[in-house]
Amino acid sequence: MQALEMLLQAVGIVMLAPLVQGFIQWCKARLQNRRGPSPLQPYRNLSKLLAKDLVVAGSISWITTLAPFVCFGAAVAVAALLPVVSSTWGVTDLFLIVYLFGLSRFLLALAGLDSGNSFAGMGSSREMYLAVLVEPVFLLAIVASAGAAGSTELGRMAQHSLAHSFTLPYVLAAGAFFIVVIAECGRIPVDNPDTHLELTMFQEATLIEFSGRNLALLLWSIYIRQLVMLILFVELFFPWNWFDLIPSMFIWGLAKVFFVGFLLALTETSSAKMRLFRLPNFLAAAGLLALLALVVR
Amino acid sequence: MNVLTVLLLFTAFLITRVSSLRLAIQILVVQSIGVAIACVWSGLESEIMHTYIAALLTVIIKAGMIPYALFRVAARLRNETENKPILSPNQTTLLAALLLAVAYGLVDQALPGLGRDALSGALAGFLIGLLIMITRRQAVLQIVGLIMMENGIYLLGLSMTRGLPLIIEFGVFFDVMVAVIVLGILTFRLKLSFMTTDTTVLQKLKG
Amino acid sequence: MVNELELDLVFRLIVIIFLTGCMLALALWKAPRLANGFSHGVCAVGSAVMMFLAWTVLQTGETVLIVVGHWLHAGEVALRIDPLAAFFLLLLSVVGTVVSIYAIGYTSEHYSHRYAILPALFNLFLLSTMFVFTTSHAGAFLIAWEMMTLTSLFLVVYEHEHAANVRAGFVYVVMTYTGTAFLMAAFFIMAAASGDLSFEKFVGVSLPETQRTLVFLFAFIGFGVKAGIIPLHIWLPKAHPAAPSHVSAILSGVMLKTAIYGMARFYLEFLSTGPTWWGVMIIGFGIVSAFLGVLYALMESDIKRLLAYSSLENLGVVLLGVGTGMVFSAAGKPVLAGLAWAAALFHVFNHGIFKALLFMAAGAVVRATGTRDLEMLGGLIHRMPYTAFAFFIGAVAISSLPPLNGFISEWLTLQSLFFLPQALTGLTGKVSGVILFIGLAMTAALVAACFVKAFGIAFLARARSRKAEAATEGPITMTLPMLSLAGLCLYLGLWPQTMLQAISRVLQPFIGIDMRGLFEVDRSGLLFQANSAEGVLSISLLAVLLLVGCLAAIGLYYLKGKVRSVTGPLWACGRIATPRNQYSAMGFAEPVRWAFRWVLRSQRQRVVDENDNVYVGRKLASHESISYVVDEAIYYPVQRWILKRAKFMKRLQAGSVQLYVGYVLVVTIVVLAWSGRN
Repeated sequence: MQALEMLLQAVGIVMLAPLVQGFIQWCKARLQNRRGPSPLQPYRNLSKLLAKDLVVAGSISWITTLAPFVCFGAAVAVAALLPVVSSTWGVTDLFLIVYLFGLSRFLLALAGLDSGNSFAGMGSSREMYLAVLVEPVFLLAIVASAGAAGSTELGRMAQHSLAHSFTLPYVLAAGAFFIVVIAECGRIPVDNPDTHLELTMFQEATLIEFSGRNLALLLWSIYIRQLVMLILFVELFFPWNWFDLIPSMFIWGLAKVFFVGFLLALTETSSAKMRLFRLPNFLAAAGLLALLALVVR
Repeated sequence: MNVLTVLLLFTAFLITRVSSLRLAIQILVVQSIGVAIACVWSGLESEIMHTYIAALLTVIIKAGMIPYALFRVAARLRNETENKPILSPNQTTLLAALLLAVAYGLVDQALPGLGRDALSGALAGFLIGLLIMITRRQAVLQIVGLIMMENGIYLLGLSMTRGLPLIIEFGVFFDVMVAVIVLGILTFRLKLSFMTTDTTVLQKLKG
Repeated sequence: MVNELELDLVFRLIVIIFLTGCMLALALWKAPRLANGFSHGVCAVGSAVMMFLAWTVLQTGETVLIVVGHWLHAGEVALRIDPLAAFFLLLLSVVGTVVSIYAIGYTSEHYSHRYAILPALFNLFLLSTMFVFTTSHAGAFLIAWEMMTLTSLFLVVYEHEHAANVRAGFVYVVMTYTGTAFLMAAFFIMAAASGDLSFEKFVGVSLPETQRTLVFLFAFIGFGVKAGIIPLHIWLPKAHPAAPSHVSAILSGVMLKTAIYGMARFYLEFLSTGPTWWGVMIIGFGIVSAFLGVLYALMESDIKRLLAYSSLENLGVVLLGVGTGMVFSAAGKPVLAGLAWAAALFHVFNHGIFKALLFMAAGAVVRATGTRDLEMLGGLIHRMPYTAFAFFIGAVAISSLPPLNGFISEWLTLQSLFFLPQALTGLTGKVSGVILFIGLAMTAALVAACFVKAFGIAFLARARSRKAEAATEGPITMTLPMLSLAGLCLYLGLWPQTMLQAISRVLQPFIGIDMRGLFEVDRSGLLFQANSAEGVLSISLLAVLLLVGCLAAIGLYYLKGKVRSVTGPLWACGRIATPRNQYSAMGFAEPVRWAFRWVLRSQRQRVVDENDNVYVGRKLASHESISYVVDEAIYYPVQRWILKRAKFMKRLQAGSVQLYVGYVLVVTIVVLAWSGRN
């Protein structure tokens, strides 16, 4: 039963992920007084890319072949492990989630170096640099809420935060975690997801030599990661009662996720991309919030 | 025992006066044999078996192997003699006599009661060995000084404790052998590098 | 079941095998090819037998005691293989077996007139390391310790034609002897208190508080030098790269761990639970070593130096586990102490495996290309596929990513740090917990960056030099050992239960540690439960999910029929990209160098060659250098002080033999006169 639930949940998150991406882009366009593409556009893009052949550089190796599968696989694993449908599985460790993200980042960075393209190389270098700055804040924000729950098991953490939501430590940690979400999703002011070139320099740059189905899988796994981050944020800091397949709860939870997506779009519209070497200060601010959250606990 | 002490001192004084390398080595052989006899003597007195072994070793190493090696070195060196010692033979002998007096004084002060003459003689032998090393420039003579010193120490130990444990004596012999081998090699290298065995050239090595 | 008497014989057999290996090499002095095959082969056999011995002891949990004899006044000398020793023996034997086989292939192009020394010393090195782990007598331990140091020293300076190697050896000797001096002091204090030199008598000796603290500090410094704890590390990044690569694998994979073994002996067995600040101090050194170690590793472009610095980092992580365990013991939380110590020991084992693997792969690269400089490599994945795969697995494992073994020990360490506030209460506990988390998370991310760089620059894209273009894969004796260790990394990552249960048996006997309830066999994976803490890591579930995800990805990939792939040129803004356009190792690390310039103090030098024609373009050369904070703050002042004193002492040293003997004469007379002054 549990296995079936997990599988269904994974399928659900995987299928929903492009919609959330489309929704954020749509919100952004509206906020900028543009009509913008429909929220369903990412589905169309993915389906188009999945039908395309590959154009690859001559210097690639099996790393390029492997990366899309492993990234997608890791994203699916994370999607299955999140305690969305039920909080009582007791199998989801937060460190595991962080390190699974690390696995796909590792392979993505290697894939960037694989082709020998200088832009992609730059992308991997900066991706790893960003990880150095983000991961401590990520873990810290998590520990701020896990410490209170006495366990790093996500289900227990979420249940605990349900009982103690909107207390000062949680609000502070939420602030920190929101910054992490921005960074992990590659959003302005950390990264610009709309362009492919020098101005982006992170995630999208590493994808520069990817095409066709490889690109589709990688993009999809990035969308899944984004949705997972949003769900994590909502579960830990805007908790809901687990719906255990109750439809009203399901809609309520979904609404919260989309609301956080809207917040992301709002942040993107209202701020400018930050210079690469300003990032340490930005993330240090997030770290400080998390630290305060831990201290006031 | 006293006869042997006198022999030791006599040979020591003799070495302060010679300038020929071969002669010095011959005197050394005589002295070493004297030490070996002293060793046997103490064995006879104390009836400890291993002092005979020690005596045998003394003969083999100090009267046999080392002098043999030194003779070979000296033979290769040809006309290297102690031409310009730092102190002339007269001055050295005088100093040696002074050291003998010092040795008597020290023994009276530090180790009263034991066999006075033997102890002071041994100590004087030791000090004179050092003196030879200080006042001679030739490497071979310095080795001779070293072994004299060793003989002195050995006799000192013998007259104080009636024979050391065998293992320690082995150690001492081994030590001397290694020292002499190293010095012998050094002498050769000296000859090769500087065309002389005058140790004052070593001062050039100072950084 | 094998009984104790037979294990005793097995141990003697191993000693004989290793000595045979050594003698064989020397006997075959004139035939290096034979010496290589026989000696290293015998060494592999010896290690394999040792593996059997170690595993048997670990499984049964019974201690094997072998009395060697009585020393003059030093009491009974015995060898004791308890589970703790067996655990480290297992690491030595696994790595030793594999590396010995690898050595056959690796050294086959190094034949020279003195080749036979290499396998002979290698045998002796493994033998002496075995004695370090098994002797239970302080004097014998120090002798084995010194034998290990000496044999490894000779291996480090084996290629003594390069002045840098000899210098590395010198620094190594000076540092380790300093460490040994502290160890001797620690042993002497223990021996004076217990009245015996035997380890059994040391257990639970009651010492006055100051002496106990001294023993703790001396052991920490003494073993810390061996472990390369910053600031005692300076020999490590010099000596490890200087040695031939198969020796580096043992040095980094096993020899460093003798320090952890020693610490376990002292802190678990002899001193047992100490005050809290002991653990806190070790944690502090651990986190600094981990962070600085990996930062320097990331800055390095010499592949072997990079690996050596990364060893500092891993030992730092191990120390975090050790320190946390000691804090928990002091706070009376035996289960959590067990968790932390288990994390440390498991990381010891894991690091041994993947660091040996990485050093072997790096050695294969060095052998094939003749260079250790990352900037000269590239594209090796096409010409050395097996080596590349092995390095890839090692890189993923050392970056502690699931589903490989590095992740498990990292996870255990993180969990034990997570519960640290239970032992360190109050604000200090909270703040230190926060700092440790920041440090460890940053370290983990830096390690990933470091190994993306090492693997990506060395193996991926196109070759950056002729040497890298001409590289070829090594013989099967090299690839097979690497691949087997890679397999072990995967096995320990997917099924860590066996090893963790063995570690439980190792730790259970010690005071202040309770392993019951930890690591119960569970189908879903890893589980630990203490009365106030629990954690779960369902590895098999994770593996299944990953597999399902990958299969889903493959399904999507082929959803719209077969895939055609067209090879096109690299996209480079319309220009033709050459290998020179590829991202360099230095460039890769640049953002991190910039972000951490407050600790790295990097300096950049640009050289512009003005003579070239300005219309065609000028030659630019850029050099980046970093400065090593610890070296500058501690070692350089000491060095200057010593040199100054030496200059003063030089006046006494006139260079005249006669003068020196004169000193002796004067001193003799003065001493005699002084002794008889009354």
